[in-house]
Amino acid sequence: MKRLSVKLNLTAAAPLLDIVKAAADGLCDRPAVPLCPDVIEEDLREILLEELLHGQRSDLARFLSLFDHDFFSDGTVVFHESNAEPILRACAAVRLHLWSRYLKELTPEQWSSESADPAGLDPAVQSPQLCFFFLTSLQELILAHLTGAAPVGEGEVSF
Amino acid sequence: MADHPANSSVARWRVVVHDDPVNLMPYVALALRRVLGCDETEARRHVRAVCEQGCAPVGVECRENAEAQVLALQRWHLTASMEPDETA
Repeated sequence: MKRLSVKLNLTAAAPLLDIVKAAADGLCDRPAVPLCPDVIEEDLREILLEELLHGQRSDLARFLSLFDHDFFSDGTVVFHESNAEPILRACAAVRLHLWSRYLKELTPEQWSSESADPAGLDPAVQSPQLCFFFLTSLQELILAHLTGAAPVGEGEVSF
Repeated sequence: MADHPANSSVARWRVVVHDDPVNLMPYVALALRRVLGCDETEARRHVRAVCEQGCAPVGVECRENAEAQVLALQRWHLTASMEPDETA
């Protein structure tokens, strides 16, 4: 994957980072997807769970490190070969967390990015839903570049 | 009488991926390529099967390898499980 520079709308994206950080805190000691109960002998379970959590925390830290001083000066984040997959996984973890905590009760219409009207939602759900869509857009952009389906260079996310 | 897979040294286990309402299909395909080492065509075939059936086997392995693959899939936040392969 070639280096991909993405310009985000600072005003829209910055408030969503609080949601991402809160989700990352919530994912510190629990996996985004529960450990499969059939796998692993009981005595190894704790060790493997901790390995899983370590990987999850590392991916989330990598993702949050995108939003540094440079981001707050010009709204740009950069993806490249070594951070793309950890960031994809971090986005997946946060999206799963937001869905299970805030969004799973929404109707399909409220869920759909095409027809969603955040203004009509419970305020407690509006920001998580916007954050969910923001992370979806980031994932789609990175995946398009990883699979060669998008032009190399710069990208833009409408957040 | 056949050995139960858990007791057999040649027992085979199916690695099963379950559908979820959150993960994007291209993301799941990428995760399968990275974990299983399959190509894009096979990964997409697995993803379609998971979406259509709710869950689908993505490989058959010895227990140790199956466990490792399930854990690796969980590292990508996919819901995965394993079950004895009784087709052999």
